[in-house]
Amino acid sequence: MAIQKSTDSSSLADVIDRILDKGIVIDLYARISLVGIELITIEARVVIASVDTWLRYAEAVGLLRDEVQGEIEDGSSGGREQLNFA
Amino acid sequence: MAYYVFGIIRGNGGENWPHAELNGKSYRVLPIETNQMAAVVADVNETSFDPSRKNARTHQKITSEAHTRETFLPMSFGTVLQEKKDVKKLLTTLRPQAEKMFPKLENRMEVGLRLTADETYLRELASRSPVLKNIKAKQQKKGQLHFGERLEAGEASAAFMKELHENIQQSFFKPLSKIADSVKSNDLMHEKMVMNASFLVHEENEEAFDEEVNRLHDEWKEKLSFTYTGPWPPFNFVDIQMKAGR
Repeated sequence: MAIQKSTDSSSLADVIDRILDKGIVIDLYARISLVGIELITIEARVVIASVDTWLRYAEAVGLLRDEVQGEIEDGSSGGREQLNFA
Repeated sequence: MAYYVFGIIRGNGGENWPHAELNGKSYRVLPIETNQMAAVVADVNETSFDPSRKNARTHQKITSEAHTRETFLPMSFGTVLQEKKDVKKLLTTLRPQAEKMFPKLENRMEVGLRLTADETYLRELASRSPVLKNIKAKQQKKGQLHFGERLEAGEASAAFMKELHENIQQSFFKPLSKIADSVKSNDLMHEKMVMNASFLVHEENEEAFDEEVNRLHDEWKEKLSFTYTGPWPPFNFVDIQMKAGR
């Protein structure tokens, strides 16, 4: 195959981006003084967002998008088809 | 003695863990288990760890190791608990959620796909945008744009890139999410990046997913640079926030 995934080629920025504030995150205060305090979970979920959800979201944000396109089209005509290659 | 926590594993992950290099020292890694669930920890003798290159790589390495052994909920970098009973308390608190999460994550991996637009491709697209063309023509004629026009130019470029991001994400998300269980769009790391996504993929679909990425690569390689990484523990798909109760 022309392109293969690997973990070795990942940059430090990529590693940091992944590990720094994702997964299980304990508030700093709770971390340093866990003895004697109660630990509570304020959010716990597996992010299962299907593409449908995401596309609907993209369309909802399309409110924004229309404005943007409106601006693009104000000064010209036919800009939209040219950009839409999806 | 304190415990640097890498995450929560189903079962206990077995024995013979690789050592963890943290702050230049080599620490033993072991599971602290309570009833079919364990925290994977290193017993350390300091409590503060910066995300330096080596520390970050260690966190990645041990979490990846845990993830290859059993279903695993990764912890974010730098969590140190003072005592064993704190670790047990963490396990007790997380148990109900963890038990619900494990089945959704078992035999699944996270992979990352980042796409960066090539300069020539961006220029070519921009040259076909009437708005940007107008601005460029104005600039060439006048030599320099005045303040308001420069603002307009920036705004138009941003809008142009935003539209490009959306189009590209849709082109990639549609086929890839048929194979993946879940998709997550992450922040873009620089201006020319057009997609930074994570996918949760079942082991059984790993090959099909790789093939689809390759098909997309063949289709887009003249226009976009690909960075395809993984398999990773599901950092982007486990979202657990904890704090002190009052």
